[in-house]
Amino acid sequence: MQYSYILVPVLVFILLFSGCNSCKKEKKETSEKPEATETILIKDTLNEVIYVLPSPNEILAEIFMDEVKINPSFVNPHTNAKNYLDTRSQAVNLGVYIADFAYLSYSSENTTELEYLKVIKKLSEEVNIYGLMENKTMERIQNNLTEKDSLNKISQELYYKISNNLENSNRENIFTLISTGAIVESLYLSVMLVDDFDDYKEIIEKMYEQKFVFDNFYEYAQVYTDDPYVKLIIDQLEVLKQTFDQIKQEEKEQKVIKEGKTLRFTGGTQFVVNNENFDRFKTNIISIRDEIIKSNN
Amino acid sequence: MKNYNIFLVFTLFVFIALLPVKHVNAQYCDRFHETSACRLSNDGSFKPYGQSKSAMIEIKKTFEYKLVLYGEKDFKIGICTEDGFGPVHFKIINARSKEVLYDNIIDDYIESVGFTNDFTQSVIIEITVLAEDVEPEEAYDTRACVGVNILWRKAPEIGF
Repeated sequence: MQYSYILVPVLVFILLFSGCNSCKKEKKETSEKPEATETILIKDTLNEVIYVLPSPNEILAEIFMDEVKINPSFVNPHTNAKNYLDTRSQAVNLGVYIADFAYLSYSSENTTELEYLKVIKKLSEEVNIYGLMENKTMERIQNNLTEKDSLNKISQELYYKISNNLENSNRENIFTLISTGAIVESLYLSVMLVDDFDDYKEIIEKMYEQKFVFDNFYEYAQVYTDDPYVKLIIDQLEVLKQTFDQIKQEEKEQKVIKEGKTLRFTGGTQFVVNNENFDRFKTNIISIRDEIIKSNN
Repeated sequence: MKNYNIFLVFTLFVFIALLPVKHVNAQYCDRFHETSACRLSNDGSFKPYGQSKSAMIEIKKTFEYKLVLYGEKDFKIGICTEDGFGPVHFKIINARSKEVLYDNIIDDYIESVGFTNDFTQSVIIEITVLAEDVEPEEAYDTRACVGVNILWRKAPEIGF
């Protein structure tokens, strides 16, 4: 009883103290504050690197440009989702399904997008990401099923919402797994598009340019190799890294051209596209993708 | 005694319910790049680049922000911070060659830059919040939100 008398004022003191801390900081804030949705993230060390990866819909949009023939049979069937029972395969395939949703959102038929969203919601909850899609969001998506631009935007929002959620809760290891699935599936869906090498050289070059995205991702993932799941996936991705590294590159002198108020960055890396390197690239992408969509591998 | 227990349970409930308040108050950096502090002029032809981001950083220290800029695109990049923490020094550096492509020191720490990027490249945006007028008295004075707001469009083709 006496202990309880002490406890109450202590709790009140802690409450008041914690409240005051946040008051002080608000003095420095601008009048317009963004919505508070995530936890704080402090970047405080010299030369700390923040990596940002494009979402699957951005990767696909960059590769496909305007020419795209969607083949829904290429995506990972949503019915496979129930077979992913461990965190690793759930997280990796969450990334796969986000890429699939982005891909399907290019299609003029609206048959399965909603099923894929349900799977994304289910798998995200399996890996403890909640609040990704509330009923309101699902309704919004249902209403926008015929509007491709909206679906693309939704797909992008989903990816970055997951990224923020996991980054702010120090679960970048899970985000690494999700990104693996997203990148591999985006590349898989791209290589499967190519039925005639000669007609797709420009698109293949865009695929090769994703080496920059992959290299950034690979560097980012190295930080989390203490996690056994990440370590395992990095080992699997080694083949893809070598495949990218083997593609011949030509360097054009980099120049910064300033004319009046306009600025242009020109020169840089160009990838050499040929039948042989594309065959190897395609074979390796298909093999890695088959590995990751296998249940409980 | 029974009444006191109810009071204690009630107090504990209120305590637990209010505990996250401080935590939520601290969550203010997310989407900072989408606020008016980071707004970039746009005639409607530019779209938001997904790799835009906000973070809380320590002032007067340098951090790097690594991303991919796709080729054949026009970009506008704006780097912003909270009122009173400026100016912000930023450089755009090619991640591979380490060549500095742009340094806003030449434009008196202007907050945004527009350019055409011909080839896809990985770049590092090196950012330092200089906070020239800030003399930190408390630990929280040493931190500020930074937003990296990026807009893009396909580079229009030139010629007839």
